[in-house]
Amino acid sequence: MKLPVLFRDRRAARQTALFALAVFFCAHAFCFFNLTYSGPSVSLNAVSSANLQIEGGLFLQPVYFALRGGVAAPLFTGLIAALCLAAALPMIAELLGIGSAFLRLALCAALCCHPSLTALFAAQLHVADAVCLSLPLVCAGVLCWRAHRLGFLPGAALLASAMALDVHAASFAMGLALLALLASLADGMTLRRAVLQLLHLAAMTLLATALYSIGLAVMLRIADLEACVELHAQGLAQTWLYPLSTLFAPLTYYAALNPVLRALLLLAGGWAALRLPKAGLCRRLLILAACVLLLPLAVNLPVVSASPADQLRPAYALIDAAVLMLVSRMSCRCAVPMRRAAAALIAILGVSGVIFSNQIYLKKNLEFESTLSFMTRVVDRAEDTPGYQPGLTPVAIVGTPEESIVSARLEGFDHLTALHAASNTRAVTSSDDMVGYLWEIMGYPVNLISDYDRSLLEEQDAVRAMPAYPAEGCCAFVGDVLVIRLSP
Amino acid sequence: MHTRYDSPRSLLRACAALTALFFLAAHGYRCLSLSFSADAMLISQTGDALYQVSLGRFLQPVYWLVRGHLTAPLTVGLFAFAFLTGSAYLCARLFGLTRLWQLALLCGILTANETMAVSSAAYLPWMDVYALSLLLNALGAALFFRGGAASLLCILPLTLSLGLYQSYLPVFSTLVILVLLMRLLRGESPSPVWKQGLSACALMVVSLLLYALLLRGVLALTGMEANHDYNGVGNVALPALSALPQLLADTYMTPLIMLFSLSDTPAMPWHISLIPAPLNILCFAAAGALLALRLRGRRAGAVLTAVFLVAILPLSVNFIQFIAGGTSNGLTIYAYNLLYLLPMLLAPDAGGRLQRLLAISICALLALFLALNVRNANKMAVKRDLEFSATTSAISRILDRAEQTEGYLPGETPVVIVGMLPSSALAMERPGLEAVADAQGMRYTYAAAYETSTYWYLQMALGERINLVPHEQRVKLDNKARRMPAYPDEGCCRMIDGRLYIRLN
Repeated sequence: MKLPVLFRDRRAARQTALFALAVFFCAHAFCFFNLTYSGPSVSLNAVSSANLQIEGGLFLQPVYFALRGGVAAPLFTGLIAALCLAAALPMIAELLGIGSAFLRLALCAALCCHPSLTALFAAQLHVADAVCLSLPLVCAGVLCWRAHRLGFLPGAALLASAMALDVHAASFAMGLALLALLASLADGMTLRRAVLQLLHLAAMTLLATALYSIGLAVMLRIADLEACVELHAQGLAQTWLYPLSTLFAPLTYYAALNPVLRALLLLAGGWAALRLPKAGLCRRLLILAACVLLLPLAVNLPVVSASPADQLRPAYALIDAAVLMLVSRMSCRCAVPMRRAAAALIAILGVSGVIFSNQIYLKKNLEFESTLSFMTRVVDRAEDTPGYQPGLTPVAIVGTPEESIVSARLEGFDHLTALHAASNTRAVTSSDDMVGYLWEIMGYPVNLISDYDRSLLEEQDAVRAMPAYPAEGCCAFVGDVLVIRLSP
Repeated sequence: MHTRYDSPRSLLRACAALTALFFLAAHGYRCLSLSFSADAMLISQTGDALYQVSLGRFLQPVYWLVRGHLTAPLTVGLFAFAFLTGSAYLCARLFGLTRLWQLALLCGILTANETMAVSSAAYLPWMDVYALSLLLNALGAALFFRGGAASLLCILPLTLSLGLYQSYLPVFSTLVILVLLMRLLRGESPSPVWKQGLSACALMVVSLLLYALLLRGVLALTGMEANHDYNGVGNVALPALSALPQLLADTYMTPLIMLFSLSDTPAMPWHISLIPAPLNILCFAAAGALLALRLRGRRAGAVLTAVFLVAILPLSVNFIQFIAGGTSNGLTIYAYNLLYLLPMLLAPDAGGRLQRLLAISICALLALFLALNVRNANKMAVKRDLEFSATTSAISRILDRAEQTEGYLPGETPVVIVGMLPSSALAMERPGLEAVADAQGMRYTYAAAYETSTYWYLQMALGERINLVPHEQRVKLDNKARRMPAYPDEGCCRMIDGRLYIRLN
């Protein structure tokens, strides 16, 4: 069996990978060269939440972390994520038939500067590289499906692996597959062949789901756990509308200009769809309809996971990819200027994304430092309490630094809170993160009691009556337990 | 080393790659860390717009609309890198540089110099603004030498650069002088050189007048008055006739004193050059020898013109000091670094044994200067980083004292902070970093360097809920804390008349 050629133009593929690395560096390097741990990522050690990952359906994450190492060293995480994107983007360009260097650069900007990646690195750095690994797996799976009639078999295995790393992998796969098929239709593929491809895609999806289910069942059995997932879905209209609404949301620096640029981009895509040279009018309309009606649904599939779907998904960047796919093929007098205009619009949005992401990481870094200051003072109070022995005395921390009366928003950063991952003011956002913060970040031996025991303690009158930090009495023994009340 | 970058595309790529190399080496650490301190503690520049307008820098708030008002280090670095690459490309085209060693030295001189080092370490919020001013002046020079009507267009970028940061206009004049000198040495006759020189002067004057007109309009529109601080345009005025000779002499001598240590008194009160003067002397002496060899056999007119051009270089790189009434600092002297282009441009590819020896010596010395600049830039960056961490530690301890003061309610009780950390008992200069502490803006030992900077730190970096009294009020209340002991002594945090006083020094 002759293996199909992966990349028609290897030089272009290499160039796309370099573009991806360069854009990725501009957008995210600050995160990987500094301590920006925040929220769940203060746990650092991803292995410690292996059970939660398996229960949540992400059963390959513990396997990946066992190979990578449990602790998320920022630069190492960043390098892996960068390589994943550098591997994925040439495959996406190949699948969508985007040949021009400018358009491929724009494609890299569209994905690497997408706020979904910023949110991922800002709030989930400890698992970010595992999530990013799903992208090249999905792309390779879709590439296999397109490349050979039996390609859906290895494609299914790749897709199943991706789904076991990231809950949103299926959305990316369906969106990319749809775009790849539309690209082929635009290039003159027969409808018969397109239907055949769709059947193969359906087979690949079913097989991937089966493989994923089997894998999950096996891992749950091995770990002696039960699945703790539920279906998170919106209504059809909302599912369609949401990805489009995120395009116009203030999740970028040029927030006022963004809606105009986005509208122009979408119009350019629509115009290009009606100017496809190798497709008749019906086919052009079919492609346009599929992009408008099906693509938002494909990139926003319902999610089966332990927690609700994230605010954003990398799959939403495929809407920009659709525009690039269409303008790269259009044929009319204004084709060349239109392509350059589309690339320029995405470049401006990319610059806006770079500025936005860097501001987010600056905020995260400053919050990391300020939380260290805050927790240093809190620990100082504990150590000043007679009878307290670090690492031995049971401790209960009631409330969070986020809710403390001494915590305030950083001046000048309010516009960033539109991104949910950046809406907090301290690195520790919940009680769940506290032990990770104290042990991993501060390296401080604290004997925290269990969440259950803490919840019982919080109901006691003596604890309810305690004043909050920094008031006198915020740190006191209740029985054998040193209770520290951080917030009212 | 013998590769030629003749085409614009290959030249741009080479300039980008070399600038990236030097930028990463010299400023990479700073652009990838927090390290905010003193003036650079102004992380959010939104509230600074009108102040910059009053200083005459009315285009800065416009620029922030593009770059963002927050000083995200890597964003500033990326913009600065882009502008420096553009500047290097334009300068390479101006001087006809196509060899790798020439481009490497050019990119290094423009990127890894002392002015950029202090800009990145101590004035990061404005580093890309300075780089953009540099680019605009380089663009002005490029347009000027296109000749014809196009040369008049140079007024536009020059005026824009004045609206961003006034002190980069000498870059234009210095580039013009160097280009004219090189053309003269390649055989051009003195007459067109004089014509172009005078025409460049006239265009600079027009740019200054246009800038002054625009500034008047902007100040009227915003209802602001020109600032009379040491760095404000309000100080610009015609000097008294009697003061003119001394002002002119100071303007001329300052760069020479700075480079060659001609006097025991420092050239500037708050800035020193970190390149050893003997090395500068060697480098420029070699350049002088090369110039003499190149002028051998030339007519008297050409020789006199060349000598004149070299002689006015100190005035060209420093005429801002004259306009500002004698004031200069480590940020206003970027053009001094262009003096190093002279030895580089004189170092020929081929020639006699003596010329080759001189050229190799010059290149070696320039490479050494670049290495020293990269080292010093990194030292400055790490000093700032350490100061930022130390400030977090010190302020944490001070806040702890405050929070344990009876009667203090965070976010409600007005707080008066008297004094500043660099003047407190907690301050010391880190051993090994004393040398860089004498550079512009580097003398502080804490990020919360002075009163305003302390406010910025608490509000923009630490995110602490603290009700700081406004500065105008603080100044009036300072005397109430006169008898208080300073931190860390007992009683340094005290409630007086419903306000919490914290005495730092």
